[in-house]
Amino acid sequence: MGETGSKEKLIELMNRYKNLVFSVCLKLTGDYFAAEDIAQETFISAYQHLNDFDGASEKAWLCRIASNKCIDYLRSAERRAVPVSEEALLQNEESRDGPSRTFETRDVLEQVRDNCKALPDGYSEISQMYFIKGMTAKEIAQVTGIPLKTVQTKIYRAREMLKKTVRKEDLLA
Amino acid sequence: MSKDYEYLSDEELKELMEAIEGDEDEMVSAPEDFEAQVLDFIEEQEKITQKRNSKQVRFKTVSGKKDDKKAFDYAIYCAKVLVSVAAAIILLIILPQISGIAPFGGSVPSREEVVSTANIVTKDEVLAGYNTKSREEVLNENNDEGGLLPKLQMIFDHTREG
Repeated sequence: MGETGSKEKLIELMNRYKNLVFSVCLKLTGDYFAAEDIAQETFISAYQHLNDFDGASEKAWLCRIASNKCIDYLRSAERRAVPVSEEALLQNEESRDGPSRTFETRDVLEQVRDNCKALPDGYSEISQMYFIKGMTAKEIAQVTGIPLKTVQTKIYRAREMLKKTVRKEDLLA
Repeated sequence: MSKDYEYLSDEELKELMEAIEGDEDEMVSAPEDFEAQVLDFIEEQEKITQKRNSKQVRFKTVSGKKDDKKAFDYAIYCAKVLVSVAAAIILLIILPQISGIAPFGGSVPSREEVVSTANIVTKDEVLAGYNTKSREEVLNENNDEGGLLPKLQMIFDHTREG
């Protein structure tokens, strides 16, 4: 498959399955931003191995890549985790749901919403519109009357702040 | 490694996909710039790869040119040496055949011929030409003229006194 053909195929795959792949990642990792990164990695990986794909089921293939990447992420996150007391470790072991443990999407989004609300003025509203309501930067610019470039910058900065907050919460959990 | 984090089986993955697709609350919209970020990343990677490849090709070309020049110089050197050796061999073979250039008119005379043509004087003939006096003759001559030995004795005495 040619390079242009591959890109067209990738765009087609993203249009059809990006929400599903992102949702799978969100459900498995419970981290909005990790899910975003892994979903993007999934499509990059799919693009790089398009020629190897047997063409059976694109949806299953993409979700397989995504779920494997999520498991790898969880394993490495576990290795990175700060060692805690033995008691806490035992408690943690008992509370595990097993290999197919998934996160409630609603809870994850609720957590993101809370974090968005906690952001400084100017970022809180825009980040809620973008991350929770799913509005585009253009739509936010039209609604708020803020220039598009400023909205994009604020979204970028809010994303960085939220990533830090979520990761910190995960470490302290 | 925790046994809890094992890859999902086909069944588990299928269930997960069905659960997400079957529930509107579970299906979350990906961020707006999702596609743009993926495409940007891919383009960036491709640019880096292209740059790396072109650098490698350029390096190969430059080093290839250098190698070619060295090989060419070496070939010229070898050719010069071969031509010189061949010329020397040809001269060694041909020159004796050319009568005008070869010494002794092209034919090398044997030792006997040379000896027969040369006017060689023997030792006795040379000595016969000289009037050689014997030791006794010389001593007798000196004794007749006042003596050589007394004269020498006088010289030695003077030298000692001085």
